[in-house]
Amino acid sequence: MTDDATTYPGREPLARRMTADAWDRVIGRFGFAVDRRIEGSAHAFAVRSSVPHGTITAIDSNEAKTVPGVLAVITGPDVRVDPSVATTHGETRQDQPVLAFDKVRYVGEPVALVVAETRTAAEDAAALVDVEIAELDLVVDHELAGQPGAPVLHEAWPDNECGTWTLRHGDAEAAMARAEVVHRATYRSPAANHAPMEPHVATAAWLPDGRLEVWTSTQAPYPVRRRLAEIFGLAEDRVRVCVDPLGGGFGSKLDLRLEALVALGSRAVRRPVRMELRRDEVFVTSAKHAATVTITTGADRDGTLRARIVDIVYNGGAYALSTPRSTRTGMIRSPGPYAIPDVLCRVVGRYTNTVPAGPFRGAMTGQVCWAHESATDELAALLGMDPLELRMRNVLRDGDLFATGEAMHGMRYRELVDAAAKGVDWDADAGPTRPELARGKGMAVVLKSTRTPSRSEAHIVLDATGRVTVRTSTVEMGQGAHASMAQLAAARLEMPADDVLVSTIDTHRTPFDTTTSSSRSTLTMGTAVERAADDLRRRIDELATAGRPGTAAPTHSNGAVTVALPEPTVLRYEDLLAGAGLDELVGTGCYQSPPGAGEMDPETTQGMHTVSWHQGAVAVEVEVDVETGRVRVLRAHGASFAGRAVDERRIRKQTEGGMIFGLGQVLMEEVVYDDGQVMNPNLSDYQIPSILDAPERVGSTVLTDPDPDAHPHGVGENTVPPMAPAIANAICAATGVRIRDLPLTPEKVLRAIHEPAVRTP
Amino acid sequence: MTSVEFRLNGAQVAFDVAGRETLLETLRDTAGTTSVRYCCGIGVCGTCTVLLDALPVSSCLLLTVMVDGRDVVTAEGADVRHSPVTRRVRDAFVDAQAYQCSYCIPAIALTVRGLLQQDPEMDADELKTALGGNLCRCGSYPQVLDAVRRLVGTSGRRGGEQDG
Ligand code: FES
Ligand code: FES
Repeated sequence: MTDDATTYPGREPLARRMTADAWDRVIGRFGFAVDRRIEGSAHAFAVRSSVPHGTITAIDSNEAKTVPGVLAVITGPDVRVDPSVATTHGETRQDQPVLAFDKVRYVGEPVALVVAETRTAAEDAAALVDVEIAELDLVVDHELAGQPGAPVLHEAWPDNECGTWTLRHGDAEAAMARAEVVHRATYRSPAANHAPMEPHVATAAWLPDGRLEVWTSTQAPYPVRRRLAEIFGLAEDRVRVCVDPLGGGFGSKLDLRLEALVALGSRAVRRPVRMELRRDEVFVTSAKHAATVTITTGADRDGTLRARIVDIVYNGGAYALSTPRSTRTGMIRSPGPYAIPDVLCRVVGRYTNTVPAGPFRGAMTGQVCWAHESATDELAALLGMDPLELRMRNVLRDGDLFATGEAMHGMRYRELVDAAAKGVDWDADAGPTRPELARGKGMAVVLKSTRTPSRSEAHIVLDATGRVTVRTSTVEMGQGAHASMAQLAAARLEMPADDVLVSTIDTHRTPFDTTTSSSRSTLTMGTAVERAADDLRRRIDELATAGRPGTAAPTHSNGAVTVALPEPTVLRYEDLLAGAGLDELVGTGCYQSPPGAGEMDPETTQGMHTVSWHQGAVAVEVEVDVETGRVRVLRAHGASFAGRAVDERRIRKQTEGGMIFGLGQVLMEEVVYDDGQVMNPNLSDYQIPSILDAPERVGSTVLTDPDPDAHPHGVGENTVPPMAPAIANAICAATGVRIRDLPLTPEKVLRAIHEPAVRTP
Repeated sequence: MTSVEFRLNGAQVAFDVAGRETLLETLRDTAGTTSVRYCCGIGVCGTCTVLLDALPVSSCLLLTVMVDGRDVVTAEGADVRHSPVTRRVRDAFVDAQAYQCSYCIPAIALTVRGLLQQDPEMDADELKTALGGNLCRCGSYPQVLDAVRRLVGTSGRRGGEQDG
């Protein structure tokens, strides 16, 4: 690295050099979605419902329109009567309006949009829009939402049903009746907020010929394009979606968020319109599903698992988003990574008057991992067994059948458990400490799966100057995906990764990708990039050997080929292109999950669920202050199976960062509702971990597959879900109390310590 | 509107601002110094940190009219040729790969730099405590600590070394 300004690569409009990224990122020149400014933009601010459930009776925007600088006020009823805008939209169910028009279903739901010359004017005017709402009975709790007589959010779903599935593998009820030992408990986890540091932002502009362009902070460029096309009745190619790197996503930027709102605003004022959320708005824009999981486990006295029955209720919030399908994913992962002959899982999602819930790093898995891994330790206590030994005995091994009926391969759980345990010196006694401080260790494992079916395409462009650029729609959001893509392409072309550029996303230039989610990119886009690089290399070879039949395939190095002509001759890529009169050469590659993958039996959920299972384990050591209930995590060690690893340092950052991220939902994070109002929509009342909350010692183990043809495995989420049960298990080891309700706040810990009823037997 | 003049990254600048405009808004929206970032808006996350008269402060809590006549430095204002400490901080963060999404990182590096310029003998523990007000949702804290240790070593308060 050099300080010479002439090497500073910020001049590249669509591409960036990898190493210089690091420099840009540290000094603050790295550009995020929120830094994108489109000239001439007006600013939008949403008027949001202050009522959790009600019927809109009147909206008066006259006073708001008198605020200087206000250009337009668009209301739900305005949009309702506009035939060019779909009344409702949704990924799985068409149940959500762009702006609420008849009913409001959660506090924070957009009811109107103010567009003004400045953000301040829009914000001021929004406060003056008078929305009259006749209040209806509300329901916040997902268990209550399923009871007869509960308030109904959507007429089409009279019991608030939002995703119902069953998994049946063997006969779990019969096996449970035969089991020597049965353990049953219910575990709850609350709504949480992803709290990406960068708020959601979007800008839309309509071109005079009716095309729509959007710059947005999304993890799902192509789905956003499709949804905008559907809402505004456009062909998909008439919509262009551009995405700059994100300051964190964690699932909160997957569904359509602000894009339709800014598009509405822009159409009304015939100018680009930008919208950037305030932090309190981020809190009412996305959420983790609250959930209640009851898990019953049957085992032999020697600890062999025989049967498991899981009942899950997820809180979907006010609109479906992906909940009707993702509930199934959560259910499939709910038995945990164990060989259990008989399994029955039932899940239901419920609509409630809360912020619509969506994927949250470790999507749908944190809730069920919390249950199955707490249950594993509770069962171990019942059996008088070491919880580590109980896991070792039952974790999936190669050839075991999982609950979906699939024979599992590449299972590394025993090594992962071992590595996590070693990472916290599992068998060593806690050092001396003060009498009010109790120390204990805990462990948890997790099984995740990547989204299937799915598809990723990549183009790699060699231009006339010899520069190589990967065009991919994978979103860079801190996971390091763009650096990985550069590395994978560079390895195939045998050139330094620093010389490979990666474009930012533009659906007019970068090809299709399903989404940047579920830790899929390294496998799916990585494969597409490698195939594109191979294709480009083949095309370069063709150019280099054209007209010379029988010439051996050239060798590649540093952007040049060496051809035996018969004398070895070095030809630079740019000279090859110039010689052939070409401006560019493009290699293409595609990853598509195999036919049938992801298709499950609709009655029993048996079948091939995923193209890639993610395996992880976490062990922690905690210190509980029994006088205050305060829990400190002293050590955390995460272990993850990475398959063919692309970059070990990045894997470690994801593994270790995941534990620190996950720590928040365990010890402090909960979106608190009172009468349907979010009580803590700010980072003072909703706290996330600081450097002082992070464990003193954080470590990681990366297990890899040395086979050069092995697949890379996603690692971005593997250590998030196990944090909660690992910490709860450690608290139990330290104090003997078992808490089954997240987060593990000092109040709860203290109450549990003083309330022997919840002590484990 | 009030006209305000201050030094920004070594250059004299002047803006007409509304009385309630925050320094964060002026820096991001008008001055184009986008290393200064919004996250919480209430002084708890530290992503909007600037050095005001050499001390780290949250620009979301300052009105622009309050900085009239003062000296403001942002992360991208690092002139490495004149400030060895700036260069060392930047290199330590790059070497430690102390970032994931990196939204929070320039403010963290700037805070470390500001603190070390104030007290070159601060040790890793003191710096860590001082970084309690800089949140990182990606959990890059282990790598940030690595960067800090690369800068000041792992032992207690160091003797002597002067820089910046
Ligand atoms: S935005 Fe200023 S401290 Fe968070
Ligand atoms: S690196 Fe993403 S918030 Fe710190």
